[in-house]
Parts: sequence; C-alpha cells; structure tokens
Amino acid sequence: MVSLSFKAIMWLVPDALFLIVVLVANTGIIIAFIVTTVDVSEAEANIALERLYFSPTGFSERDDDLQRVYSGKIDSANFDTTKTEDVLNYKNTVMSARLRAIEEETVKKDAYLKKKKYDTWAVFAVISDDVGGRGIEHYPVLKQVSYDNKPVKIEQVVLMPR
Amino acid sequence: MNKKGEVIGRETLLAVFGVLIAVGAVLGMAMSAKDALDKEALFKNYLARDLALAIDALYAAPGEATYIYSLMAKHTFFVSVDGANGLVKVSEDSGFADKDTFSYRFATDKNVNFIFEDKYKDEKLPEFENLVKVPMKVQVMKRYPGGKPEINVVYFRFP
Repeated sequence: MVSLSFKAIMWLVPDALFLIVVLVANTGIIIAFIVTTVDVSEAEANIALERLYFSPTGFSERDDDLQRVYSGKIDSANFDTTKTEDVLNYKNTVMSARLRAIEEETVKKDAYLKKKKYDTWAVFAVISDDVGGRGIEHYPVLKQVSYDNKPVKIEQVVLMPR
Repeated sequence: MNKKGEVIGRETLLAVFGVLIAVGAVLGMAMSAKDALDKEALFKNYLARDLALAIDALYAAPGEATYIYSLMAKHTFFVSVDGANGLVKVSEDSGFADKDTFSYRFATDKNVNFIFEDKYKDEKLPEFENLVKVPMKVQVMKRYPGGKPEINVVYFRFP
C-alpha cells in the first residue's frame, strides 16, 4: 500500500512544482485570450471612409437647393487631399489612406489621408506581407463610381498599425 | 515489495494533487472569464468601440438619420462622447477616472457640428443610485438644421 517516506515526498516536490508552473502558464494564456482587445480595424477602415462617398461633405455631387446627395457621382473638384482630411479628422494619426481614381488603367487623380504617413507605412505594409510581420495592415477596396460623368474605379487603400 | 508500494504511492499522490490543482485552475479561469464578461473590461471595451463605429457610420448618412443604441440593464456604465477629440468614453465611474475608463476614437468632420447631451447626468434625480440600474440609451442623430449638417449624440434614461 501507500507508504510515504521523507525521500518519496522530496521526490514529489519538483514534480508538483512543475505541474503548478504548467497549469498556471496555461491558465494565463487562456485568460489572455479571453480578455484580449477586440480588433475592429477593418470594420473601422471601411465604415469611416464611407462618408467620403455618401456624406454631403464628401466627394459626391450635391444639390444644395434640394438638399440631395448624388452618392457615387464624384465631383472631381471635391476629390482631393484637403477634402479627405477635412472629412476624416482624427485627433491622432490612427490611419492613412490613398484614394486613386483610375479611368481605363490611367490614373486620373490621387487623394490622400495623411500622405506622409501613407508613404512611410506603405513600405512596412509590403514588408509585413513578405516576411509575415505584423507591423501595418492594409485594407484595399475597389469602388466603381461616376467621376465627372465618366465610369471610373476608385482604388481605396487604408493602412493602419496593428 | 515495500519499494514498489512506495513508488506507486508517490505517483498516485501526484495524480491526485494534479487533479486538485487542475480543478482549482479551471474554476479560477471560469470565474475570471465570468467576471470579465459580466461587468469589466471586455464589455466596456466592446461598448466604446461599438458606439464609436456607430457614430462613424452616422457621419456617412446622406440625409437625416437616427440610431438608438440600447445599453443592457445589468451593466451600469456611464457614457460620454468627446466631440472635440473624437472619443467615446465608457466608465463605471461617473467622473470618468482614467483607470476605470475605456475610450475609443471616431473621426470627426470639420464641416459637421458635433453636439453631445448628457440628459441622464442633467436629471440629477434623488434616486440616482437606483436609476443606474435601469436601461440607458444612446441616441445618435444626423440632422441638417438650417441646411448645415450636425451630429447630435444624446445619452438618456429610457422613459
């Protein structure tokens, strides 16, 4: 039957300590997953930039008399960096973006949100993809719009730190 | 024989000890998860982000729009929206002390007025502590008074 000598108990100590360390580590990892932050960056990137196309303060044509916005009909006079930064005004730089109007494979015009940051982050976004790093995430979207009454694609790329 | 019995005894004891520790760890994890999901960081975090995304979405409305966000009664958090800095703040402290407050950003628009009204705080009713337990609502509206766009966020008690 069970007979525990002092020697046997001494053998038990390292095993028990190891068991405690393993269980505490597992518990910590599982709790860290439960209480992790919620990543909404992709949704945020897409939702925030929608105002550029739908809001009366954005790129789209509007009729002030009728108070109507022609969503998807881009007025080229509104499509610029100044307008983009006025409409998407963050206290801190949390995202940068490039909006490129392309007509039949020809770039017509670019508009930026935080251009300097975009140029810097774009490099890291490419490196992140190549080496599997987790520096900058990019969220590309292609939109079909009417630009000065011509069919144009707007290539929208949002960059955000992970 | 005696030697063999001693070895079996040590292993058995270790297994029992392991089971006890594992039960303790599982209970600890369950309690921690319940605590996190019930009232603490996770819900505040979710709420701040969700409200910030809702405000971001309302900014895009081409016409007038109203969105009412309901807060569950069992959560007793205070909400504040800082239009100047583009921040939604959620806290269990009405003074919004940093250690108890979660905040999340949203983008403001330089051409759109932003108004936040804390009707709940303004009421200052005597049964304040009890009122904390009733459902709260956050109403986000996009309006065009005088043709100028405006975002109006109202934090109020459900009538």
